[in-house]
Amino acid sequence: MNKTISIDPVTRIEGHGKITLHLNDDGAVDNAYFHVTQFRGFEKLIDGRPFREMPAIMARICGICPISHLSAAAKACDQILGVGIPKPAEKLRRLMNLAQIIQSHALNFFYLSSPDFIMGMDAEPETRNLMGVLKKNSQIAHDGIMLRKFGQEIIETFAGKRIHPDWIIAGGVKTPIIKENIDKFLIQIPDVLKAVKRNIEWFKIQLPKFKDEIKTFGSMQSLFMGLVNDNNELDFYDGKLRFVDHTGKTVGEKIHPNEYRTHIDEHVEEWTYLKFPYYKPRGYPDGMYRVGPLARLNVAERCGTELADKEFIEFRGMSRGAVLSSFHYHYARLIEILYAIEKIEILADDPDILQKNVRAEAGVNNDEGIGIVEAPRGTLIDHFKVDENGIIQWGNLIIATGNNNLAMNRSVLQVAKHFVKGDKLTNGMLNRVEAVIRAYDPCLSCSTHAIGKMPLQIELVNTEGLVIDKLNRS
Amino acid sequence: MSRTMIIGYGNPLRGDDAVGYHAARLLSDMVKQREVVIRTCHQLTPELAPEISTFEKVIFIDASIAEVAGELTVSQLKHTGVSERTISHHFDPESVLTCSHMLYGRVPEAYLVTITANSFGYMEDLSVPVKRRLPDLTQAVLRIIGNESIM
Repeated sequence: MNKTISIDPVTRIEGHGKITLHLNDDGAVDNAYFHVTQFRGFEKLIDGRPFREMPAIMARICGICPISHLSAAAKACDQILGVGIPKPAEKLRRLMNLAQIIQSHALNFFYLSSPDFIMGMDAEPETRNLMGVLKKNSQIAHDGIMLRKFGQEIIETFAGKRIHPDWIIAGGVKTPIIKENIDKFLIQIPDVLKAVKRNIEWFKIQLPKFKDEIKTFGSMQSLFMGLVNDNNELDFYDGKLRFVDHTGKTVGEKIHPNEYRTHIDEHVEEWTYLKFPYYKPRGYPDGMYRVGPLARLNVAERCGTELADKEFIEFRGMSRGAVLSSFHYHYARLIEILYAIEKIEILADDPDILQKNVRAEAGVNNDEGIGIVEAPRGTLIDHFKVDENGIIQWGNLIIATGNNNLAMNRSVLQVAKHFVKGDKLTNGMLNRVEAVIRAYDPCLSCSTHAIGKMPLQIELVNTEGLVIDKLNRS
Repeated sequence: MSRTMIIGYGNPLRGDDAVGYHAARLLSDMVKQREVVIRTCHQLTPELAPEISTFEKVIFIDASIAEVAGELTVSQLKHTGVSERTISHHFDPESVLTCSHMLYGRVPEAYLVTITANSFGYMEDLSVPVKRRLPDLTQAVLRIIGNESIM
């Protein structure tokens, strides 16, 4: 008799999810489903709204990465205006997106994931939180808080508030910035650099302890997608889409954002609100691809900054082709924090950043606009169509977490097959199944554009569809 | 006057949840001393710990859930050092104090001032029973700043 295990809710991720594990007659995991059980429908609610409202409305999708939502929507609106925005505005948008990468990655690595690395995957759930980290390794907690504060304060200082600012607008940004505010962050650069370097070294030492997890946390063949600049370096704000396969071979490159629909399609399954984007030339589900920190480091040929490039070489040296294990999202996340700090320092030293010309003015010159940026969790695509008055007629959003949906499901199955035995759930099993999802840092509120709470439920189901065991986390 | 930080927190789109936010804005107009820093935020986070550790006194203002809407409570918080609350969506004043103690070796004298909410529905204004008690809340905070007896 087949059985199913269900994990509901999944914890320490953003949003609301449930996992069901289906067992076969021998008690082994036969299949696994990661259900996203929430829905918001932003694509519908923007119908009939003026296009200039899009950045501020899109920012409301997420409280963690509103800057990416602002930026992608604003870029789409720039196309509707038919303008190239002033250089200072572009650099300020870049700076803000990098600040957000730092704070969001710090939230995932230090607050949500480091408890697993420090206390261990089998530790009691009550101890696996930031307070546990504080007690056991206060330096890591200290560094995490410092890094997140650094990113958050840049956003607050320039955009007015940390959560849901509306400073990035169609045509540029609302206001120029002043030198005193830049200087305030430049003096912190040595400390935050030291903090992230210290944690990269610490994490590399931890890796041998997680051999099993590295082998089973989504260690699989897939494509990888991300934006790169003309030199095939990391680019979080602009550039062209690039796809590589598991061997590291390029399968699609120099794809202009406006051509995304010829390369990406979305599949719908009835058991989840989260859609399944895939690489169109390979079809569904063979066109499974991953996005986010791991994908970006697989897609790029280098980062483009001195310290991050050194780490990049070591990172990519772990594999002859692409780095395949999703456990290494964590490692990649730290390297991206390092890159973002270096890049912020470069931008902050650029005299352009203090120029007063930060906004282009225009009316509706195009009836369609597409904006793509790299959000912390991966590639974010906003696509709008408007009438002659600039009223939204149609919208399509492909959110970072959604891009990873196929891969997350495949990863849950791989972990479950390895760690879940029999018809009873243990915390160690449960946490590993959750931890593989956490590695992707999914924001389910964003990806379903849904109201966010993120407890997770896991259920074990037999062949007759009966739930034979259940664990809940809230 | 001791260096004091006032933190009013809550979601300004969810009615009475934002009583701390509204109170902090009112207090910003009333308190002009340089020793007093007033902040608003949606929710408490660990990043507040380094900041509060540099103050002698901290006053948290929040909405509470209880029987009687509009009820004002003032309590002094004790740092216990054992707060195990997880973060992400829930971080309470005691957890901020614990972070401050464990990471920076300092805990300010701390107070929590609350008004019992009437509604957490989607609205930008406060409900009548809560709005009616706002002057009492601000007076309570002013008394704490002045280091007077509050209980």
